[in-house]
Amino acid sequence: MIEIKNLSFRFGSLKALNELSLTIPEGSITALVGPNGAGKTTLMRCMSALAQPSAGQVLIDGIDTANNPHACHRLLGFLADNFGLYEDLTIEQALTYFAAAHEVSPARIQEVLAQVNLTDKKQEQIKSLSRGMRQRVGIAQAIIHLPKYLILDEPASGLDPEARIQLAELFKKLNKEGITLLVSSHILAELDQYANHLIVLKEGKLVETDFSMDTPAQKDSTYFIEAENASLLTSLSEPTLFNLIANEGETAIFSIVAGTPPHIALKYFLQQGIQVRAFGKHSVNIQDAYLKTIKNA
Amino acid sequence: MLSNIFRNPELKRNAWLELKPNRVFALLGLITLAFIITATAVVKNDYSEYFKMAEFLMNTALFILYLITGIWGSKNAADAVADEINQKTWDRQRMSGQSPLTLTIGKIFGPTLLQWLGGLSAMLVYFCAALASENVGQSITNGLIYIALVLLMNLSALLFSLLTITGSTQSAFSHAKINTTLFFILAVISVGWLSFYLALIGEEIGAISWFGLIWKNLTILISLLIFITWSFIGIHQNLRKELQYRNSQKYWLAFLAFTGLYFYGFTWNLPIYTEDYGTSYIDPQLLGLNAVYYHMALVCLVFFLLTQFLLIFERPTENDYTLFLQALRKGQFKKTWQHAPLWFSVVLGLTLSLLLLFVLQIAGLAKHQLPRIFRELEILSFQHNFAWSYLALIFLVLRDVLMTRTLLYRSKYKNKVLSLALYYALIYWALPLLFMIVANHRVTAENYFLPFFEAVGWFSPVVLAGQALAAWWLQRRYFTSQTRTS
Repeated sequence: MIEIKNLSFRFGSLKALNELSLTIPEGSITALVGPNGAGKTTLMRCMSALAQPSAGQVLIDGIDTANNPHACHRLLGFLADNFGLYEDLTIEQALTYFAAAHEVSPARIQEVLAQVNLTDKKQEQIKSLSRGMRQRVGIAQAIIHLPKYLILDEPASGLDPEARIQLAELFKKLNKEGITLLVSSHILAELDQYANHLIVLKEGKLVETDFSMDTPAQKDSTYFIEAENASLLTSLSEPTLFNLIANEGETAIFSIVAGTPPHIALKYFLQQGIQVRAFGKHSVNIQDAYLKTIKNA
Repeated sequence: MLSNIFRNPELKRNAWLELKPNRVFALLGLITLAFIITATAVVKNDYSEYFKMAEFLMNTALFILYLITGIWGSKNAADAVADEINQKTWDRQRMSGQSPLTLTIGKIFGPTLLQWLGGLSAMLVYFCAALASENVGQSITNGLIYIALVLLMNLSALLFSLLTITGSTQSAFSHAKINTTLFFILAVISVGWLSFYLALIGEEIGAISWFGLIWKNLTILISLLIFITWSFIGIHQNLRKELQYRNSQKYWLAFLAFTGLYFYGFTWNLPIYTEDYGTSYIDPQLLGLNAVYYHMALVCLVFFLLTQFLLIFERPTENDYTLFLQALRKGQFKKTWQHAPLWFSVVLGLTLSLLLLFVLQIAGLAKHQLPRIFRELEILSFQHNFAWSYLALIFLVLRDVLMTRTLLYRSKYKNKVLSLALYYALIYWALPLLFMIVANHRVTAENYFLPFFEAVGWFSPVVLAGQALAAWWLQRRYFTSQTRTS
């Protein structure tokens, strides 16, 4: 688990982070979002023990990054927004260098190449690679030492749609293999594909956290209904059929009991006199949630 | 230690990049050509003595060593970390798990592999030719001296650039490219030219003694080896800091103590002028407090120069400097030392030494004569008033410390060098000149602005204290808001 306690960071008179406290649960894929200048990159650099905060603590599995940054580096991999690569080396040479630097077995190089689907390109010079492949080389370098946590700052920036999809698949694959990911991005629709936890920053402060995203099972059973008299749903009780989650004005969100086809629920609502205007699957949309949060912040 | 060399990932990476067959063959080919041209020129001029051919070959080898390893190598050494930062690969290296020692060896020799290959190849010819020279022992010693000299040039270039660029890695938003040309030139001039000059003095004059030993080949070589060791330690400490290890100041304090002791050695048997301007050699051990006085005066000169160097080139992050000021204000001794910049301990030592010199002079416990070096540099006279000069110097140093800190943390990176240069030009040249013109040359401005000049009684220290006060007010105005709200 990554814990951040009252973290502050200054650039001169500007407070880039302002007494931030949050937790990133193990095993999650956490999306870190916020407007430009919110402090996302600064937060990630402090978490990666690359920058010393002005105040506060970052604990990686209980280890303070300020007291023992090297132990933290063994647990972390970090891919910066504007990262560089050794252009004149081949992919294999670059990974050999980092494997030696991390004192990792050379056999790990081939494993990593397979993980990021670059095995057939390993002899190519990095300067000849496309943007998407360079991203994968960057990720390969970041995970060569089998870190527990991977922090990625705008990894999809500049990638074409196909490359972004491949990247999303890679993140889900890495998460399944046990790596906790923290990903910052401005492409919110992409985050929807794999993130199950959300943190929103604004002006160095935490705006929203622990905004758990729907699991795939939840996404399948949650529906919305729009009706002029949707408020009537609160007076209905049919626990064998549905559970009301939220009711705001003309929209109600509910979950259907497992095994019940959705048209049965719709038929029931119509029989109860609900004047249905729209009916469909509901999922927590990061973009909508973010815009709403930022507006209210 | 051996594994840090043979299994050094940084050395291996640079070997892939630098030692490509075409580059190696091209360099060795050029070096061979240079020797062939030299040999041909010697034969054509019909030098029948072997040692003449040997002399020319040795000189060619030294020239190649100096040019390729000394100058080209120093440029690469200065760029060793700067290039990583400019290419955005430094953060990955910092997280890579390499030990500071591994990285130090890698950064010193990795970027200069090709240059050392070329230089040492040339020196191979040198040592072979040395065996046929007139004075074999001296030639071999000279060869070792020059190898040590270019190594010190490389180390100095890397160290100077590390002192300055350390701060910039802390900022994710620093997009300014780092230019190391200044550090490379400084290393070449300070180490390359100065050491060469001192070696020449040692050879020609033979009058300089160091702790009673004549300043010649062996002492020069020993000195170079000692400073190479210190430079290595300095680079190691800087890289430790970059890799987020906590450094204590013990190595720095040990270096300062060593520097004091080292330059103290030059005041042994130093010729001084007596009051009638005759010259005599005086054994300092007979002089008691006068010996302390002479030695400290020279050491203060060195520490003053070191202070100015650090004020210009050392660049701790603003965060670190603010934490230092906070701890200093709160009287937190341990935390102050943890965040203290290097110049802090030098300035402390310098201030205490100057206070002692002031007390010795004002109490009449030490004579007014000073070693010849001060007379020849025309930076101190022999009046009573230079007791006040020592006090004035304390305030002058304080003024420079406060002003440079304010300028350093107010201007953006690109303007820092310019703003510091403008400050020094203003305070050390423009203002004294203006002062003298306005006063119609009736008043010597250097007494109120410049170091080591004769004070005008207690008036000079008062004027300089006023300047220091103004600088303190400026710094307080800028740093108060940060330190109080943090």
